[in-house]
Amino acid sequence: MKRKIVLNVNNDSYEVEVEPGRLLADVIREDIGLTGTKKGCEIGVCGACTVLLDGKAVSSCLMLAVHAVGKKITTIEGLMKNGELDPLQKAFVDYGAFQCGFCTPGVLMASKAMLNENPHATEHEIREGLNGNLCRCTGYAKMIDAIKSVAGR
Amino acid sequence: MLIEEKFTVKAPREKVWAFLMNPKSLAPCVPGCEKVKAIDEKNFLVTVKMKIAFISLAFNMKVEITEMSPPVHLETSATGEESSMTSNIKAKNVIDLTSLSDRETEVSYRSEVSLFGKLGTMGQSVVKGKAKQLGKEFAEAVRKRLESKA
Amino acid sequence: MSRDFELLEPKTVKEACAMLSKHRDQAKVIAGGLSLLLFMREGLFKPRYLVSLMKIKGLDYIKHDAKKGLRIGALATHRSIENSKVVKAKYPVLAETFHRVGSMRIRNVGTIGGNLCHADPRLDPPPTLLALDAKVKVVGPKGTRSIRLEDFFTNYYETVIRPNEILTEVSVPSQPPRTGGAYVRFSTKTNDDTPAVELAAVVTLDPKKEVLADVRIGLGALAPTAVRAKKAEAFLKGKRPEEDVLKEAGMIASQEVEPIGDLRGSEEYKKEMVGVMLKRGIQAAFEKAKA
Repeated sequence: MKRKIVLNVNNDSYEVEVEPGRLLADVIREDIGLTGTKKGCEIGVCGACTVLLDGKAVSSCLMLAVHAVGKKITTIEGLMKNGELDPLQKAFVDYGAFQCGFCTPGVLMASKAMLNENPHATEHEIREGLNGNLCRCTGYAKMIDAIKSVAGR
Repeated sequence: MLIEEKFTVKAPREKVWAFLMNPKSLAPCVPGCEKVKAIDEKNFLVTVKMKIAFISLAFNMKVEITEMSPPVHLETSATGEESSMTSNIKAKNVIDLTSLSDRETEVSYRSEVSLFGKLGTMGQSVVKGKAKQLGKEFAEAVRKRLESKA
Repeated sequence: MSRDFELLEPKTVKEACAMLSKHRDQAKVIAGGLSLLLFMREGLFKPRYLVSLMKIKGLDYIKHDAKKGLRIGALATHRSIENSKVVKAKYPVLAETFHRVGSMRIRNVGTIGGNLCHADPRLDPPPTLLALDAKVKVVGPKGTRSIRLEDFFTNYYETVIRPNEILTEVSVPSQPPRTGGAYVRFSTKTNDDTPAVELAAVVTLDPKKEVLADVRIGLGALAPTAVRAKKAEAFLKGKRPEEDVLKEAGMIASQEVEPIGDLRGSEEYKKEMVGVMLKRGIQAAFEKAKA
């Protein structure tokens, strides 16, 4: 049985009609139209679907959309502020920290959450924070350099 | 995965063989076995239900007797689908009966089971662990029925 | 994934129990939903009703006092326990264990109650909670029960919780002085993968000598449930953790479990690893207890 819910995504309110079984990743991508969040493994392991819920990184592929009601959801589209790239996004461009780009939104969201909690994270902490975001292309090195450059500020 | 078990029954070998070869007596001993339909002497359709906590599985299997040397050796081959249609199962089973005395028989079975699909990726070790437990229930059930008759 | 279910959202534990009583085996409790949704989307579980606990307030506390020890509300996330100042101070092995659960995303959503009730023997927290003599509080229409965690798990994904009961709290008693704990976890694939072998060791030293006065060992991923290695514990009691003692304890512990050979290792390999993990765990716990 469908129900109307309101989701707060990137500071905008979206009213959607969903069945209780709809997953947050699907509602964000299909109903709201924000396709920056990707679906990789769909079992919570790869991190491509990472979004922030009240600032905390979560797997949107393993969350019921109705469980996200009343929370502040941030997707990759919400990282830009007033047309300006987030420092993390700038660093990823400067360091060439992505290739195919599929894992990148998830990695950026996870890093954002990590740096929010720990703005001057050490390399070890950065590596630990990326635990659970899988990348098949880059070998992670440039990602870590990019994040380090933002943490160093 | 390999499931191997041995158990002893206080009954003569011929009786054990007859018991195992008769679907009517064997089926109730297999935990979760709900339906056995004989297509011919060598082919059967079997439905086995298995519950792992809140997960209910129902396997619809085709079982074929591939080799038979009464009253010593039996080989069967089974293929089936789980009713949610997300998993398949293949099993090759070998049963050997050894006479320990004229009143006691050792039953040893060996099953090579392959799980494909969702259960294969998610549940290998859980299904195997559960299958071992069910194997013990099977042995108990066979013993109970045969020893009360013998 | 099955769309044919109704999501019920009670505001109190009492309401939740009433809903479970009404719908019996057609209903299942959902908290963070991580484990449950996995089964549902694979079509292995199709409930008619999901009773979500996420609207119940006041069940995510982490409290401590010297008398009652540590009390954690069932809806506390793994992350909140990992980061809790009081857990880090008083039960560091517990904070370390919760740090190892999955990835940050899993820890932000998964709850301790959900973890225990899911009862997959390969999950991280149970061996440590077992080694700390944890208890759980379970509430139903007929009242409240306190159950030792040792008696809580019965089989793969099965516990002693009745269909209309809710786990509301996990408690860990105060530990005596000169107690130290270690959690060792061995996974054969990635850091956040399901463990092949996991072991938690909590030791209490004799007040005067460097001898193991009390030993508690929790094992996971090695049997249908997380278990205590009681025989190995009894063997180690009163002894010094020397090489040959630990080696024998390892062999005893490996005989107490029945690992299943799978993608993460053969039966023999896992049994061998029990010995290795036991040695590392006891040595690390011993060092912490001395400090």
